[in-house]
Amino acid sequence: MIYKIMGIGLIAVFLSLTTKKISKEAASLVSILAGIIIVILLLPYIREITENLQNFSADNNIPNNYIKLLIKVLGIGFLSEFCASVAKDAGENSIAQKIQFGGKVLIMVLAMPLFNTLITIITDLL
Amino acid sequence: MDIGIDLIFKIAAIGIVTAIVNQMLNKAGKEELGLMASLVGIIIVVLMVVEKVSYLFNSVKTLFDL
Repeated sequence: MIYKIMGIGLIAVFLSLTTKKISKEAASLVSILAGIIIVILLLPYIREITENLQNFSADNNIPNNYIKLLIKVLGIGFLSEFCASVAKDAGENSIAQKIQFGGKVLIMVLAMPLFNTLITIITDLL
Repeated sequence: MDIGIDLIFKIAAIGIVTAIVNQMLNKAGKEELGLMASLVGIIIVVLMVVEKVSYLFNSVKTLFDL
């Protein structure tokens, strides 16, 4: 599997190099598409990981909503990092910063209820 | 989904062909037509990429139940 990913990556690098001289847009589109295809190839493995996480929580009765929150945060982090790196590739650093900022804000919003439960637990202890 | 590698070749090929057509049209004196041809080529490539992007985003959405 790793060979397939490596192969696609190398071929995409060579192709984007050749097309960079000819037309810039095709080169950046080739690199974007290579990233997308590599991630599509990895989807079944990510599905396996998330299913294990959920079974893991079901087995030894960890409350399920924390695991769900964790998986959601993972998804947001992955998506924002993916788009930010694509934007950085195309040379748009400011857009990449904004995308990452948006991802951070959304993760904070999701994690808010967790902070509340944490604070309540701590105040109960004191 | 190992169709992906062919798509990369197709996109590179379309990019090169549009650039060549653009050059030919420019040499033939029709600059605006050449511009139109390169635009059409880029739009076709973007459409193919967008199709894959939507597939990826849908599967990620269902996977992480975002």
